[in-house]
Amino acid sequence: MTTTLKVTDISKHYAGVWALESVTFSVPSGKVVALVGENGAGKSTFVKILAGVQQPDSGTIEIGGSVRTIDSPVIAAALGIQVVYQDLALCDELDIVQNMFLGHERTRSRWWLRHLKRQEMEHAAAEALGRFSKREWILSRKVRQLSGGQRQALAICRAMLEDPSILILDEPTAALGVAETKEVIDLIKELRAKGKTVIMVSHDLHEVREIADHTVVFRHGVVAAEWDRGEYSGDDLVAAITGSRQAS
Amino acid sequence: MSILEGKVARPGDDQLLPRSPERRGRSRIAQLGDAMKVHRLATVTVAIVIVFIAFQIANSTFLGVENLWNMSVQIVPVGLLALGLVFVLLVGEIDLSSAALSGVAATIAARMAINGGEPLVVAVIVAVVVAVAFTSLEALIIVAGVPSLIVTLGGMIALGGALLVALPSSFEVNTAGTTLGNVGNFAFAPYAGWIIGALVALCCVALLIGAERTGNPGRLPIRRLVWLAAKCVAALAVVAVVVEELNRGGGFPLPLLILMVLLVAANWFLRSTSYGVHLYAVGGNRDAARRAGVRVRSFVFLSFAVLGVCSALSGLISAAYVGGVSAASGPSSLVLDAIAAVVIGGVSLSGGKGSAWAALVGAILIGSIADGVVLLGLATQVQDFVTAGMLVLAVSIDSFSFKALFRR
Repeated sequence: MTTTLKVTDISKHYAGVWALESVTFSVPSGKVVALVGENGAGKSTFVKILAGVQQPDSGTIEIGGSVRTIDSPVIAAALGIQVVYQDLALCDELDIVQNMFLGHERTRSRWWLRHLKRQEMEHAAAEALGRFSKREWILSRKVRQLSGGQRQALAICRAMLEDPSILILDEPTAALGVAETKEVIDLIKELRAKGKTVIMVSHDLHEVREIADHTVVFRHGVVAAEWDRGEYSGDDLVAAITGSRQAS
Repeated sequence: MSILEGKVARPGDDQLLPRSPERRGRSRIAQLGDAMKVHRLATVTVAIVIVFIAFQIANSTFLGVENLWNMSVQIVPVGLLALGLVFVLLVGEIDLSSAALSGVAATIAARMAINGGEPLVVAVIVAVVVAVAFTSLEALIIVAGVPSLIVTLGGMIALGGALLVALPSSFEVNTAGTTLGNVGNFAFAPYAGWIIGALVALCCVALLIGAERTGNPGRLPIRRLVWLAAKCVAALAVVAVVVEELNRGGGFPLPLLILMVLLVAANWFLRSTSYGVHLYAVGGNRDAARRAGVRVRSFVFLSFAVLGVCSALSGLISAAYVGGVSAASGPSSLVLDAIAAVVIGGVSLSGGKGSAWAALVGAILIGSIADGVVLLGLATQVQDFVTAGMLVLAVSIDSFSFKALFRR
């Protein structure tokens, strides 16, 4: 099995607190990996480090066998990493197309300014949305006019636009209803079938057990447990998350 | 089930979709309130028409050629300042020092050109550079984490002191009859006015077509085409009437042309370039913008630099129009009027929402109220009360939940 991502001894220290301490694990290629743990366990910090929003104090990140420094979201995107944050990171007053291409707009230089290729972006957005969502989209609609499910779908479609090799989903179903949650889970399964690597942060243990091929439990900034599918029970998972039992 | 097989709505579908359950449950007043939120520029335009009609009924000279011409020049300093503030408010910041800066910039240019004998072009360039340097310094402190309200309040106080140093209270520079004064009061011949009008009309039509096509790739349905044609004809008619009135009043004023050119350029920049989208993103959701790789600090700098240019031009045009600069140039009431103008025009104080045209419609509304109050011989306090009422009403429209207030 090839490894897409390998992190070794990643540590991050905030004022007086170790958010991450010597975190080491590997993410196999084409699998769904779940990161679980209580609030403050270090999951979000880890995601931000992979996304290039924060930098680790120490440790290395290997992507495709090479050690990489991810010091900005642009570098992360260039390395094939896209993130869908829990808050979705959408701008309410921008429309669907503007949100989809935010930060990597398709432009042509005109009078020393980057003029938007609006029509080209609209066609690409329509194609991407059509590929990943069965919803009906009005491209000029502002994000504040969309429902929670539409926002989630838009955020995922935006991440998929650049055809990433690693997609990170931070609590992808936390704000969704039953039907919308099922849509997202189906999408994750579909991405796995296409050979994409998905890293999913979730509090929903049922969801984790249903779709994760590999599960990593964070507790107090360290990796408290790691299992492949079928190696653990629900009780094992809860015990590792709450710290009532150390497992590995 | 897979969630493939997506569908993108056809052009105009948003108008053709059945009324949602949410829409069906609202009263007409609630729907009107929501429409006023969405179509803010149209709402303010209607308010301007109402104000014009009311003042015309009260005094028949209000819509007279001479008064309209004067009003078209009087709104320019507020309009320019408001245009700069649009950029600053869009990135979620505020600036209280821009009016004082306009006074200082005008003083620098006037003293260089009139007292110092420097060429006007050099004086104007120096004034603009000083203004941009000052707002950039403010931006430097703001991106370090100090609230813009405090930084620019301090800037306003400091600039007030600087103006007193440059122009002691008993001293003023007279611009009347000088090159600066002549340029500021220049008006184009009628044929040039019609050429300018034709260009403005072309821009209006291009903007309307562009707005209609946004999000609607492919051919527009007939109904939308008819509506677009009606809007274009209305825009052309308004431009024609304005140019005719200005020509009869003495010609198309240069200050108004400067404002119009900058408005069109700003609108193009905000709507058609990636920088514009990034400005909206920085104000709308700074974290999201940062995570998307947008250079947030650069755009805060950019917005303050634009405000610096607009402040300097506003001060210069004001100095030319009123005939001089003094220690009272760039009063704090000017910046409050400019902030009121952009907020009335639909720019959000919390950032990320609004358009460049807010500066124009807001300045026209506030300018026409000020003009009408003077024309009717009313106390200036009346102007303050009316402007305050408009401002609170405009913000209230944004803040109220009409759905909750007028539930059926």
